[in-house]
Amino acid sequence: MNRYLKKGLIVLITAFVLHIVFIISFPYAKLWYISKNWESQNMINSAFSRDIPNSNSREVIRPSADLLYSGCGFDVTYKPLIITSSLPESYWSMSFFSSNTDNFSTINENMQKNSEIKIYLFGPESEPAMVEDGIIVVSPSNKGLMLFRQFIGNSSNLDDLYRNQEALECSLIEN
Amino acid sequence: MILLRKFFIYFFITILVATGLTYASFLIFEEVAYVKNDIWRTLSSPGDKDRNMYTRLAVSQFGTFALAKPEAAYFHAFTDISDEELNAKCMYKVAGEDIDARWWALTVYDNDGFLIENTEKNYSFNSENVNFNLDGGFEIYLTNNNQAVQEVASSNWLRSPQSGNFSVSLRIYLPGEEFFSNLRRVNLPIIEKIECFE
Repeated sequence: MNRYLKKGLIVLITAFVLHIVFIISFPYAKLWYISKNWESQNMINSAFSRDIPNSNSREVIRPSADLLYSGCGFDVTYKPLIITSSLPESYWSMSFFSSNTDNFSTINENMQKNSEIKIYLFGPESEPAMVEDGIIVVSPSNKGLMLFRQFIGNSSNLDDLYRNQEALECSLIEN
Repeated sequence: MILLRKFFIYFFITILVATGLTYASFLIFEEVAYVKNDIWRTLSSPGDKDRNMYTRLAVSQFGTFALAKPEAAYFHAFTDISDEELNAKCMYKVAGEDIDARWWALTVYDNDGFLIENTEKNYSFNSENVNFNLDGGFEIYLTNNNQAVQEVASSNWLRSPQSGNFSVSLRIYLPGEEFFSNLRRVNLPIIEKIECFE
């Protein structure tokens, strides 16, 4: 084979591999970058809440001004996480995102009709037993994010939504 | 020394080609990945576990933590019905009908994808706070011109940015059963230009 053709092919293949590595690793890097900020604020395995997004909100692109966000970054490497909260009458969802930002599970008002919720979040290597007092979610990655979205609607139940934000708790299971 | 120089030349060329490949893939992705519904475009599986790696990257960059279907659908419009970019100098009317969903919201973003500063602190309208017409439809005006604002003050209106282009996003949560199999044809609002100001 022509020497230059061979070198060109090597450059092309290496460039293609680099391209694929970039495409695959970017979402992981994005979550890592965001979670770095959470770690500095002790927001891993503990609940955080945000006020209604406004023009100063810069944490994510295209924030929704119709949702009140709260949640917790999670690290279930060693122990499962218990998530509890009271729930609004308006739309709500608790959505789970793995370390590559995939939304691997969402629990919403159609699945939980009670006014309170308890979720057991397990890591990828776990084989959780049945629980009677809650919902089991198994994460495909040890680290990730749970986002609790509450629909603001016409703002008539805003006080309730803030109360639910305060009621949200995320804590690792004690032995 | 010559070897090192050669290595850096090949390294530079490789990075250049990789950047070109990535740029080209973005251009192709823009053309093939988005489902187009008139002026609106959407990704059919923005948050799904089985989305491809290019969708995953695009969503993580431009709409991090998007939900998987059937929880929500996200539509974005960058142009009006004349296929002209939404421009801050112009006033637009968004006209549509109620959407079969648990709730929906229409939000205006600046060119960087952030909410637009306004003294009214109104960034969006949703299915609960928008004023519907008697026929069940709705109209939302988008403008930053104060005189135009006075004219539409009693209607639904949102402030567009002071300058540059902008975009409109339509979030639809828990849509009806047939929604996701009909993304190209589902009935969505239209955006038409009313007038432009100097």
